[in-house]
Amino acid sequence: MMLRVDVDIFSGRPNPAWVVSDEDAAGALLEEIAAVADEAVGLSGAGYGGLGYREVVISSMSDDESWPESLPRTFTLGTIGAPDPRRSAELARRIVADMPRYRGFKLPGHAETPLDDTTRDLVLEQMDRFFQDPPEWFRPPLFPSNSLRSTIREDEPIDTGCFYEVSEFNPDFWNRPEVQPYNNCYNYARNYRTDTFAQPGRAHGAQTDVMACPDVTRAALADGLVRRFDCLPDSEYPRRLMALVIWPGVDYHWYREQRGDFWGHKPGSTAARNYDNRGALITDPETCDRGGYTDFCGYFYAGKSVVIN
Amino acid sequence: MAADGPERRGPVIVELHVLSGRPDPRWPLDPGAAAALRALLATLARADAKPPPAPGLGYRGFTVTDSEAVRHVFNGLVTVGDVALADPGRTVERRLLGTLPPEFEHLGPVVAAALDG
Repeated sequence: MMLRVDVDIFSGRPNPAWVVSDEDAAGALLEEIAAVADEAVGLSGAGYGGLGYREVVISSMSDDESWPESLPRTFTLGTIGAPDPRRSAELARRIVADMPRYRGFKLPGHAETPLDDTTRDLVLEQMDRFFQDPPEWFRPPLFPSNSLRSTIREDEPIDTGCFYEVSEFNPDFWNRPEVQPYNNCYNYARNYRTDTFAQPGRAHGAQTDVMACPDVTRAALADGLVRRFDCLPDSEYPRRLMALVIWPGVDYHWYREQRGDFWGHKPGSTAARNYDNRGALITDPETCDRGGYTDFCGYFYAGKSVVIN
Repeated sequence: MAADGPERRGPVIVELHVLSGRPDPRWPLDPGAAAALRALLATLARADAKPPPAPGLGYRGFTVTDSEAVRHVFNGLVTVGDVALADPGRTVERRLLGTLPPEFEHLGPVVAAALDG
């Protein structure tokens, strides 16, 4: 087995790159990395993407090498995209320190970026500087292009690092004879047409008849909703932001945030809309006119895996 | 409603539009209540007014469905398609509220307050 190492650092000249051609060393190194994959390993392109030192990319040299299950065939170390960037940096630093050992295995870029002590020392110095004060970096997650949907980063009042998606307001989807009577506020807020007048918890045997915040919240959590700021991973894309309110002892109601800094809702079997009981655009579900739904229970994310019925 | 016997008309189903998350209450009228409702509707005059938009959340009126028609009752108007009947005292709504089954009685004060508001 051999490993290829690329230090992603330069912009104009070729990045330092070499092959760990000592098979025993490569195997041992890969085994060591696999043991701490959950902490130290990132995915290529998931970390810092600005100018200067970015990450160290490790990849296999052939498509039939035996490879640890815990590692992709291309991964990164020394990256702020890893769960534990410091642990990731320690491993990367050791690999970079060995760079000159492998100058015998020629790669096309070695003419402009030789594997000498100068290059190694430059990379180590830049890495140390980088990890002394890692840069703030937000790389928008890469999702399928969708002109009706945008991703929001939760950074007010504090930067939580959570993301969710907002959709273009599209009431025509809901306000059709074959859809409107059979889908309610929960369907609308989750953005999931079931034609069953979906009830929180019903899909998971956790429906409640008690119309109070704790009870309806519990039922919704059973469907897979999570409380706001309990970040959902990108695998849960698209993630909705929903708000729950209660008419004490009588009913519940849900809202969904839309693209454009307002909220939409669908009161029961009536038409989907973006205005409140006074006819005002809903910019804040906590303060809009909600009629008898006086109790504000809180905000929730609903990811892709949330099933309602 | 035509002046046929009640057995010719089939059941009269009332739906109270008031909830958002849970299904709205629905119940059948007994023959006596259905006959009384028909008699009351027969006294109403045509109106030029169109029903106002109902609020999104809270009381939004009743629907009365039988084999002849689907009637929407809200805010002092009874509408069937494009035809509206005036009920300025909201008598029909109060009559329908009076038939609310016991399992929905907690909604009575809410609707009564809306009718009196």
